[in-house]
Amino acid sequence: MKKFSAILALLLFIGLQVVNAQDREITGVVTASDDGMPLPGVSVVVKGTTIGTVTDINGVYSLAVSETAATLVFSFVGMRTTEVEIGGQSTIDLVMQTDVLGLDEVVVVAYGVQRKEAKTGSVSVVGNESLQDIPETSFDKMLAGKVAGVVISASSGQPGSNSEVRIRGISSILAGTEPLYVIDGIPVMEGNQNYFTNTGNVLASINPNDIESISILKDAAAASVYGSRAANGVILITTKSGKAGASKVNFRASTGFDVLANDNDYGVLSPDQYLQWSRDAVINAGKDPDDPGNARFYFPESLSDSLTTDWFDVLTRTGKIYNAELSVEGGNEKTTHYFSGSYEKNEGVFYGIDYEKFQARVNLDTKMKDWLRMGTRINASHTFTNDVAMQDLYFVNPLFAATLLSPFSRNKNDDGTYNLDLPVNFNTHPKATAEYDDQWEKQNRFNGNIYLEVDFLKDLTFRTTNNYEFTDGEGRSYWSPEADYYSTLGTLQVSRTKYSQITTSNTLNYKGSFSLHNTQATIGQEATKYEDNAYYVSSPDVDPKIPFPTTSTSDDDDADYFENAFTLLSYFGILYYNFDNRYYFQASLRTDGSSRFGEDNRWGTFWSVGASWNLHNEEFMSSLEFVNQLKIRFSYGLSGNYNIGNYEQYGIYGSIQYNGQSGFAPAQPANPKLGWENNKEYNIGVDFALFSKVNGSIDVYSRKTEDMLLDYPLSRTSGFTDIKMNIGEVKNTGFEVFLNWNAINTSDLDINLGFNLAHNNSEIIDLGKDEQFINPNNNRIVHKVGEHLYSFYLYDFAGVNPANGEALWWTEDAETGGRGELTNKYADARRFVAGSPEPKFTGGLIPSFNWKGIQLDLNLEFKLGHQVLVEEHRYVNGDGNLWLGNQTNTAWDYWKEPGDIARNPKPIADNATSSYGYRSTRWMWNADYLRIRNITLSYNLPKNIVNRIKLDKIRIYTSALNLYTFHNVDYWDPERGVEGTGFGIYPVTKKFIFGVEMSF
Amino acid sequence: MKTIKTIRIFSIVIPFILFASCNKDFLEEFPRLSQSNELTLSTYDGLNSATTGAYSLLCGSTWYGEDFIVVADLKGGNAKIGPISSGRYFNEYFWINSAATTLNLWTNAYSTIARANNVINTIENGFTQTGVEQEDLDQLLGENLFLRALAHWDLVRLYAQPYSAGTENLGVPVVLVTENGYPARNTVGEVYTQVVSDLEDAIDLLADESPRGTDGAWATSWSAKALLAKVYLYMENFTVAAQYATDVIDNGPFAMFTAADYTVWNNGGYWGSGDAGAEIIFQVDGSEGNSAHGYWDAISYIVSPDGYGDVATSNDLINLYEPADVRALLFRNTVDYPGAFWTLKYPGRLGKVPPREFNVPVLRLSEMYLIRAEAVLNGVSGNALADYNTIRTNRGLAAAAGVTLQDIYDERRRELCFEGNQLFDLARTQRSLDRTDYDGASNEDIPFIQGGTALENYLWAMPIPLGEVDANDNMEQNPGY
Repeated sequence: MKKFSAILALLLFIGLQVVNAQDREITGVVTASDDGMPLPGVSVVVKGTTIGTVTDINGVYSLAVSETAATLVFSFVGMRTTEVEIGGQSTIDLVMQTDVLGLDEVVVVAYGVQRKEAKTGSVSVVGNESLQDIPETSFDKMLAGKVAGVVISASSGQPGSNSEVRIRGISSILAGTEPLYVIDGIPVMEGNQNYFTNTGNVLASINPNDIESISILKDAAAASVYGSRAANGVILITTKSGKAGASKVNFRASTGFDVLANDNDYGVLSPDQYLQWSRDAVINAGKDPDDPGNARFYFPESLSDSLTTDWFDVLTRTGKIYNAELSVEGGNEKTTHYFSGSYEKNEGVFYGIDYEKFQARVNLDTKMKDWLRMGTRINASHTFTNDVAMQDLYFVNPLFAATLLSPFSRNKNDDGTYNLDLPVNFNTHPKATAEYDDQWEKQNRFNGNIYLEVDFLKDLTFRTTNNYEFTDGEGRSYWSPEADYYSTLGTLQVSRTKYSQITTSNTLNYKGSFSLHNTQATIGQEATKYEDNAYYVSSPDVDPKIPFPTTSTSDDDDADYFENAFTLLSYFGILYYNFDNRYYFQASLRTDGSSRFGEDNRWGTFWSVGASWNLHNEEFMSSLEFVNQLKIRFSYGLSGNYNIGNYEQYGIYGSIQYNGQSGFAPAQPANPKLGWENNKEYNIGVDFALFSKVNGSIDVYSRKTEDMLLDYPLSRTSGFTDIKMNIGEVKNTGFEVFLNWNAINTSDLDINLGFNLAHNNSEIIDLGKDEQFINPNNNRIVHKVGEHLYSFYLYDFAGVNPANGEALWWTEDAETGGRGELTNKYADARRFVAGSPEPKFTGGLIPSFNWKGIQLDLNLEFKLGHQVLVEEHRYVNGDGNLWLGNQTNTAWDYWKEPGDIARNPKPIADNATSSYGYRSTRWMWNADYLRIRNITLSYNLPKNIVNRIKLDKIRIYTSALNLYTFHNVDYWDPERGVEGTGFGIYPVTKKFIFGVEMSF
Repeated sequence: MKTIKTIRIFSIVIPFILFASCNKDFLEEFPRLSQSNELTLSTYDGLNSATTGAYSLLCGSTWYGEDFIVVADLKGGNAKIGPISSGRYFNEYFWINSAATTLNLWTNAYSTIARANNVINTIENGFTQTGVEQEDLDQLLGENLFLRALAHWDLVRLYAQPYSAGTENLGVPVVLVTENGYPARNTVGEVYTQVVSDLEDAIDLLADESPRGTDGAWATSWSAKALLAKVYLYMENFTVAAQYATDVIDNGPFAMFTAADYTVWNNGGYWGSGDAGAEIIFQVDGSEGNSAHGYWDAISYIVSPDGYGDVATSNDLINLYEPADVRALLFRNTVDYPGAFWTLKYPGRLGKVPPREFNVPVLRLSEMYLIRAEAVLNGVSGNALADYNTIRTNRGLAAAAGVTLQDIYDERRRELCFEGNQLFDLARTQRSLDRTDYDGASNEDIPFIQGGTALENYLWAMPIPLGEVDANDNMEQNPGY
């Protein structure tokens, strides 16, 4: 934080450098209490005036003051602000104490910075120190459990995949629900940009160790100035800047391993169990398992003596993690720099899955004149990811195949080749696939901006930031004949993709103080143009000797082209005012024009107001010395959500091909009224700091999405299945608590305990003319008035009939709508709101201990009060649905004879009873979990040893990710993304790393 | 100092002015890969392209591209799930579909109706364009009426009780103007009335030869007549059915496949090249280049042991062939499965590996003979035996001495198997499904109770897809589901 603060302090105090003729000179050195090192960039101001300076790179300051000057105020981010009586002294040295409460910290907010004490909106800050050692490939995944109200859901544990981030619940069904990411002042692209794989997380191109701080803007006052993009909250990322002084070099390397998590004893039946289960299934189907004449049903006891295959042993492995990075920072009074480069490789727990990344960053700032500054932030990366299709129940999905493949089927043939004769898995051997097939994606990404800052007057600054980012991707998916039971030719698909976004952001900022009135105002303009396109070629019959489109006959090749573009034009203003640092007021206004909306609805206006009261600065509180801070905040505002498809307002004919002719066909219904979603949010909050030990905040909010965009299902007789309409209304209410207790803080021992808790409750208020509708993209989910935004809509499974082993279901009582009678017919089962994937409570516990340089950091994370649907079970625990394949260990408890109270109905080979039907409560689990998300132990080698080998610092550390998860879901891991469904997903894994960090 | 200030001020003012001036254009982003509805339907070329588009879904995997054909033969007992399986079509083979697992022909067929309606309504509302002849517009109108009739008819065959079981049973909504409405189901009788009316109009409007091409994949007056003959057969209006069949047989440019055509199935004639054979009156193109092609989900892939191979042939059908019948050559087995049979009607286009593309016949000349023979055996005047023997003698068999209705039913299986008929032939004649070669635990035989209610015979109408029932409050599900 210190380097960063130095720059900010420089920027903030440029206005103070107007020095009048003064009477005497005071000099001194400022050092830090924790390490005794000089502190550059500390502001030194004569109290009650604007006369001041900042310390240089050696911590030295020199200030001319008038005879009447009585007190100097020393302030620095992360340090306790200290006032010193001047008296007759001409030399004042100061040892600054660490400010554990951070009240004077400068926080990055929309289009600027603000002292933490001055904020009116709800802003949470995560510093780089809590990101640095976590073995994740992108910072978004590192935020899990760290910030109250920010819920990170993993829909995949695959390295390089993106996570789903939801701030204060979910505001929308079909428009985007991800927050806006703003990196160094510029909104950027996010999401998965790969064509064939799901490992193209754009945010992974940012090296987490390059991040100085992350600010999360949660309420309207903080976020609304981002207008039509602010409804889901805003995440501001600030990367590191250099500071003047000697170059500092930092090197870090780590390595580790990665294993499949299984903390709820999930797995498959043993070969003998499976044999017995199969025999029972055959007998229950009325066939004879001992009759060799009926090969399909032939399961003799003697099979138990045959060789068996442990498919998990064959198809999973211990993944490996490597990471190395180097950063250099330094500069002089005029120009500072920060450079970094990193390499990362992560082999997954399945064969054929790995992730490799090279990344480099250049951050430069230079001051040409007192009134003119310029700088640049450039990040470039190259990623290479190998993958096997894991996004669904493909036969090549190693996790599903390992569960399904019979232990009596062979891994390899006698000649050493893979056995592809695996009918239950459609003759697909995932390890052969991993070895011979290709599914990879290479991406080159660039994100660079250049800014110019001009001070027109002392208090009036113009800044223009111009950013360009692009992703250039190449993908290949190749099915080779070696892994294909059926073909002797190769099947090839290749893609070239390009994404780009260009943004200009221009602001004019004024700052002024008149006696006790302090104001700051910003007006600005922003314009963005986004474009993407993709070329795709499929060659279904390439020669495996030269597996490129070159060897395919041209009339088999299929080429396609896709493109998208949108533009956004915005004007905005922000006003801050405070009286005597006691009463704060802020307002923002923004108008956004978007190419995504129909011409009638093209421009939207968004606004916010906020006020806060610093009670601790009031006279009447001065007697309560233990109160370091007490602030009450209130805000209300309107923000928007423009995250829909790019051309959805147009009724269009798209091109189609049929029988060698090109024609037109309707692509979507016309929708001229399509607009943005409105999000209205109240927030009331309290910030407090007590006894110089405890600080925290409590926020209560209510946010309402109006004009919610919905894909409203149409009768198919319209020629379409649905149309987008601004018809819905949903409300999210909740509270957030954040507490930090610095229990012990001595020179040898530091114990700190962080805690955060959030509760969110969503409720659908209005869905247009209907009371409910089923999500058109996920028919397990219903959206129903009065219920949570996402509810599971399932058939009511009533267990197993002890008399005959049949599945039982509850019918609907015609009068009450509740449970009626028991039936053995799935078709008669009632379908009802059975649960919700939205957690009621989320949070984390973040204790840390430091004893003489040994540091232990823990991060526990929990989600409570929600369900997940694990429908894989209908195949691998499906009472004979796919009975020629193995079953999960949950299938072992099955009905055998009358009177049995069993978990599963009797298995029947080729079961046609629907006992394993889709969308059944039988596949729903309570997904509460408590996860030891991260535990890191690190040790700073003593200075005297380190200095002897001419280094400043050597730190060794070891870190575990997802060390243990307490949960009850019959799957490898309880997380299944925001919707809580999905098939065959790559579960979150456990990672362990060991690392060394050195600097000089 | 003053100059510097002026320069500074300009430096911010200029970019603002630049952006303000290009405001309007900057926010216009039209999808360049498509064209607006208004523009498309305002020119003859646009209407012509939209008509091509109206054909395009026929080859989708829920329709002639795979499901509709395969399911009619699986449920009808001509096909079975063979020794290799990708897990597809078990529900249909076992007759256990629910609203969630029913065939989704619904969406594709109504999209086709919408595409046809857009053109029909535009022309009927008085579209004119300088230089465009009335006969060009008539041709477009006729093609779209034909497609609208075919779509409505396939819907009512699949999702409703047969016409013979009562015209008052629930049919499907008849949609003549496509809009975002919530129509209820018309009766079976009303649907047939509209189908007949559209086809009669189409016969008058369509040319005898399609300007789009001569491969049989584009509608002509002959395809409309042949389809109408088949529709009247389903309506048991045997007199008119025989009239249209006779018209096609006597006056159409079609010729019977001969026994020799069957011996070169893999390299010529209709079965091999994918070009129109002489018999083809109307067919659906199965090229992989078609936008609606189902890729792996293609009929030639599901019926081939080199593909998914799920759909094999029932011995009940195999046993119907006499030894000399050349059509028995149209089945193959593999080294691994010498006892199994897969049809060779969709072998994949020559040189196309894997076998994912092949045309699907919808109407061909043999069926016209069979329609007429069946009509005659139901009381219309004519010579049923002659028609029956026209088929037999062209298939390597000796002429028969007599013919019964059951002979015609069996001949339809032998001739038209794997062309999407058997389920509907059983239903329209109210015969039960009687399977001997069946590998399931239950539902081996499915009775059709003659004169029974829609609920008693509910299995013979597939459930309306859940998506439609959920979206449309006026949509009544078939009884029993």
